[in-house]
Amino acid sequence: MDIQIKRGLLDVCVLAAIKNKDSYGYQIIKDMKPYMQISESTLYPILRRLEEGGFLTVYSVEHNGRLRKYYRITKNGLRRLNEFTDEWKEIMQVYQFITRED
Amino acid sequence: MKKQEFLNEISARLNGLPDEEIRRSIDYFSEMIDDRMEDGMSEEEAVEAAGSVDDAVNEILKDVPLTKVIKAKASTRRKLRAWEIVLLIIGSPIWFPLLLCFVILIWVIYIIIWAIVVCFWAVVLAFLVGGAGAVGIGILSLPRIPTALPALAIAAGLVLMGISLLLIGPMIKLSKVTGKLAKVIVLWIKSWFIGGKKNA
Repeated sequence: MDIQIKRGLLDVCVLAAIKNKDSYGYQIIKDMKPYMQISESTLYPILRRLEEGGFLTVYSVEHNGRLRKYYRITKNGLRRLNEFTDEWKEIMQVYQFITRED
Repeated sequence: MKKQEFLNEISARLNGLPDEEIRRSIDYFSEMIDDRMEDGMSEEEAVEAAGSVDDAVNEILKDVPLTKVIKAKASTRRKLRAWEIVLLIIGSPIWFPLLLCFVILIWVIYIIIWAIVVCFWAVVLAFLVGGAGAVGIGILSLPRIPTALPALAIAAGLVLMGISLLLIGPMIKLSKVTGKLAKVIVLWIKSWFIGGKKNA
């Protein structure tokens, strides 16, 4: 897959992974696995970027005597997801045009 | 590798970054490894699954602005002793020009890379403008100069414009490659400032 497309997709996938329920790093990787393989190293800067961009917030929860960071999607993050799906509806129409058989 | 070894190595390689930045990265990878172990992996397997130290360090550095890296490195972590300050002042005619030279050198490398890109596009633009100009002049002078000269100008102009259009594709590719090169260089400069001592 084109690296630029993949980069954009990963951001949105991470947002999608926390869309319905707050989640933590390892869970996000597990949830994404069937659709997109992502390593810990790759996820780290994505989470930072999304946090700095105001698309998600971070809070710590105690778990088994250690802290675990949970990520919660913000209004901005939800808006970003919506923009993405709108855009892809258009792209899918073009795709149908490209692959149509007369 | 054990978890603590992995984390120590990352933290050593990030030495020079703001403490806050290092702590966040360590917390993150530590949490990941713990979660994997809770999921049934052994410590070694969990560390293995976390990937290589190189990848981790590269990804962390990629997102830190270069200025922050240099600032963190420049602010010394300990108080200087009196004789060190004296030495610094006495030595300043030597180290200051060297430092300046080094900073300028990095800048120059960066500027050159982008100058190359600008050059590429200037060439494309020159062909296009030159071609359009030749065609224009050819058309304008057609009624006045009753020789084959105007027609030649038009033809030459069209050829030039054609060349410029053909160049656009390769130029886009070249620009992209140059952009990637610039990124690699910035990463390379960052890794110069950060860590320094690579743990084998």
